[in-house]
Amino acid sequence: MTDTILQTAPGKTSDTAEIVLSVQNLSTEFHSKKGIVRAVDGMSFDLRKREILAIVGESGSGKSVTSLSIMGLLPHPAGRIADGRVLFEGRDLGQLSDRDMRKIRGTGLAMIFQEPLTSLNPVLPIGRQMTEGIMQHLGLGLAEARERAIEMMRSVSIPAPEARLKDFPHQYSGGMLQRIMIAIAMSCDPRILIADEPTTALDVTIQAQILDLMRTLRDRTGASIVLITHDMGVVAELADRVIVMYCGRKVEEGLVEKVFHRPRHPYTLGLLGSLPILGQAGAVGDTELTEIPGVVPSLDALPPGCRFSERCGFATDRCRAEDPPFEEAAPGHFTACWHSDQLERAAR
Amino acid sequence: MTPMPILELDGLVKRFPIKSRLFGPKQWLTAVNGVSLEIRAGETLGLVGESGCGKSTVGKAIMKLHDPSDGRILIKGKDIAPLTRAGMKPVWRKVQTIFQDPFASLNPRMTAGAIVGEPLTIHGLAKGAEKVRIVSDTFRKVGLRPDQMDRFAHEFSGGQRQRLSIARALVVGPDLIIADEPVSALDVSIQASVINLLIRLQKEMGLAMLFISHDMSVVEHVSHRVAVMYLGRLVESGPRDQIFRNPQHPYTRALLSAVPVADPSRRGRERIVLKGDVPSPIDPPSGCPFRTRCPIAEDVCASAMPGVTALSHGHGFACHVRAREVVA
Ligand SMILES: Nc1ncnc2c1ncn2[C@@H]1O[C@H](COP(=O)(O)OP(=O)(O)O)[C@@H](O)[C@H]1O
Ligand SMILES: Nc1ncnc2c1ncn2[C@@H]1O[C@H](COP(=O)(O)OP(=O)(O)O)[C@@H](O)[C@H]1O
Ligand code: SF4
Ligand code: SF4
Ligand SMILES: [Mg+2]
Ligand SMILES: [Mg+2]
Repeated sequence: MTDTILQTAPGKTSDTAEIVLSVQNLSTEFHSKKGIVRAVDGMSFDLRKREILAIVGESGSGKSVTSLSIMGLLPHPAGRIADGRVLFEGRDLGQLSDRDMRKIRGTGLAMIFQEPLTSLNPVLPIGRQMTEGIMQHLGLGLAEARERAIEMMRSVSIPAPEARLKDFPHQYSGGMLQRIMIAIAMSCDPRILIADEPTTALDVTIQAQILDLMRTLRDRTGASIVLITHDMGVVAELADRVIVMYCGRKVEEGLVEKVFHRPRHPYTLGLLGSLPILGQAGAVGDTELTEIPGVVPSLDALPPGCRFSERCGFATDRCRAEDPPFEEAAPGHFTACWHSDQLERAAR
Repeated sequence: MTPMPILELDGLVKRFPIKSRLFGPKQWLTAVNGVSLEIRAGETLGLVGESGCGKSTVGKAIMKLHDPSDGRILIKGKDIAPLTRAGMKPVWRKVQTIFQDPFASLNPRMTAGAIVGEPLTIHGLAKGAEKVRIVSDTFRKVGLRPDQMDRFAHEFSGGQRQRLSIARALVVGPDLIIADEPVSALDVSIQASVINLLIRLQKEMGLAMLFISHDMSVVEHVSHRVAVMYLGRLVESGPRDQIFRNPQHPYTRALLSAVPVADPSRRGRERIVLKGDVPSPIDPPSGCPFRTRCPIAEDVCASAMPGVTALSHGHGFACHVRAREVVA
């Protein structure tokens, strides 16, 4: 059985591969003048060796907070993990000292941030920032580290990298900084890469290069990747498995083929229908895109029952009163919806 | 008989002076380099290309926010170059813009009704009860409720604000809409409703629309014809289905194959992954602008700028190598 999966998607993990990251019932809260909001609420997932797991959802759904919680990088003191734990190769990250955590960031867990500037030092040349990490984590000498840095910069299409090592962050364009961040994160061959909207700010031809690079990292080093994105196209191109988030919670989870072919949550169905798909356009105006009515509710004014109920075409009284549990609807395919059996793939 | 084009660009060029080192030679950035195109009533032209290729500069030149360095801009056959601000006023009524960022482009201190009604006052088209009637009709047209007219822009969601910008553009009865990345700042679930609305209004009102976007899938969905830009130049243009199903230029092909498709069964398709970055428009390559990244470039590409090869149905492209292959 595993063989056929491997055939259709080379390099794909099997569901017996070792679990390298386990997020268990994670809840993260923010304290503000208006009170406490729970940005991530009971998030759980396992990431296996060689697996690319996508977390997808609209802005504000809790994707970045999930990744910052895992990395131990929540803004202090406003944000805190209220519940749950994160196991990295079996070790509880919450129990580690700052020093041990720093060691793990790099070759163990590396992260690409949505905002590149937040993680680069503005007063250090890019070359120093790259080589320092490489020397520290890979134990290379300066000359070798420099070679490696240049090679990584070239792999993310920075022109004339030798000449640009001495430049400071502000001398690069935003798109280039994003690629430098990616180069830094991948330069130490991390075992797990958490990439938060790594290509959102980039043009498609550069995006294609970066997605290729991430795929190669996985195939070459056996790394596992958590890919955070709002783009269903990117999910379909790269991920093995996908988690759909809405208002801080998982609403659907399963293999990418299954979730795209037969979504089991109305929100996922709506997201897929709202996208024009390249090569499928009819005459202009003949087909309307699916609209999801309303807006994402604010976290301090969530509706009772199902959090999607105000926008859901399948909602019933039960939905407006009772929170649907997150359950297995088909083997390996989970959803939080009372009426998931009523969803049919919308004819497109 | 085809109607007269609402908009014609004829060899449009826009150069910006660039601050350079003290006493250094004066430098120019060529943002738009000889763009020619036409849009007719009832037609949407999608203008695509990666960031920095000059799309917005084309839009701004049409609005006369920039003076062209060379070339002509004709609106309903009339050259706008010699027009003064006062002379442009009737043109501005006929040409309206919708920008990317619905947060930045609406005055936060004005009510929604005042925002949408303002162009009517500027152009002296209506006042008093007549104005209120037109504004509330326009609210309905874009899917807002007239009772929302007294609210301020910040009380609206992103998608609703973009509806307000659309209402403001439509209220004066334009012939041409320039929509510059009108859905790029919106979440996907909101994008769909704004795209549906734009298509419906364009069709119902018979508008000409210049739809500027970096998103190929959205452009395919909304456009009748498409023009592909690279480094200030059009590399290919033609009927939408020709561009998307029978692309000729190597850049168009690469761009299409790079688009992530939300269909995992198409994952194994063959793709062209371009190397490198777009060159700087301050110092563009000699010959063909695409040659530094082109997978099929030859020696001739460095020495001569390719001319346009015309196929049927107004489909054309600019490429030395493909021109030879098409003829052969
Ligand atoms: N620094 C912060 N202070 C207060 N609330 C925050 C902060 N960062 C995030 N949040 C809350 O967490 C929610 C989820 O944010 P985030 O994880 O960044 O969303 P996503 O990455 O999915 O767009 C936000 O809607 C916001 O309410
Ligand atoms: N006012 C300006 N002054 C100098 N350069 C400009 C100006 N406006 C745009 N540019 C430059 O012109 C090129 C094209 O920009 P633009 O038309 O905004 O591209 P696009 O909309 O396709 O992203 C870019 O290199 C940009 O930096
Ligand atoms: S539980 Fe009800 S409201 Fe929630 S997604 Fe399912 S059908 Fe819709
Ligand atoms: S002219 Fe040459 S470089 Fe330009 S697109 Fe054609 S083959 Fe490529
Ligand atoms: Mg985020
Ligand atoms: Mg632009």
